[in-house]
Amino acid sequence: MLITVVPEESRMMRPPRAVHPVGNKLGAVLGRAHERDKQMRVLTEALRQFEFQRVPGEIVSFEP
Amino acid sequence: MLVMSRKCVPYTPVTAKLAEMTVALVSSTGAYVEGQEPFGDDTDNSYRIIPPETAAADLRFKHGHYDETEARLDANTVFPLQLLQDLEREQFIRRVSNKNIGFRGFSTNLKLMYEQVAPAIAHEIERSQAEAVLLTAG
Repeated sequence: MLITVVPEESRMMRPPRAVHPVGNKLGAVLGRAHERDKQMRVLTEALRQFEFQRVPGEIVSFEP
Repeated sequence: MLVMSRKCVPYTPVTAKLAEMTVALVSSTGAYVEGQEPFGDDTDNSYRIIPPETAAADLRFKHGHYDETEARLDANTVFPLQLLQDLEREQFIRRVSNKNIGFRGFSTNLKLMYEQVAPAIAHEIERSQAEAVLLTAG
């Protein structure tokens, strides 16, 4: 499972599974420093995707 | 050597529940542990194995092609090992893998990365406890 903030670039690498936390930036892909709740939302949303059967290569966007 | 298709998306269906899964963190953020050799310049294609019990305060970053300010303030911004440790304690996942990997994602030698470095990292993971891999970049 890839966490990406540049989905169009990541798509070219054909990751099997990926999530895109909308609004997050390079250098803080899970959230900014000490934003623990936001970081944890991104992490748990990414991990939960393992339990869903999706189209290979689909990048799931969400707002953390 | 197993050669991956350059067209197909590799995909292995998952049947286990998260609470039964051991998760490894593999990251191109230049993460390493205090005491390990820091990464070098753009020709450095090495990687570091990061133990599961590593404290966030002991994580270091050397990459050079993204702003590492947030990562140095709080490793969980790009390398959420501490958060995975918390999820293990909460039994959200089974456990953090015995092997987690940090490397520099910026490489001008893509042939070396594709043919040697990536397979070596994959081999480390295949020989580890990991049943799922979380990938992060800077």
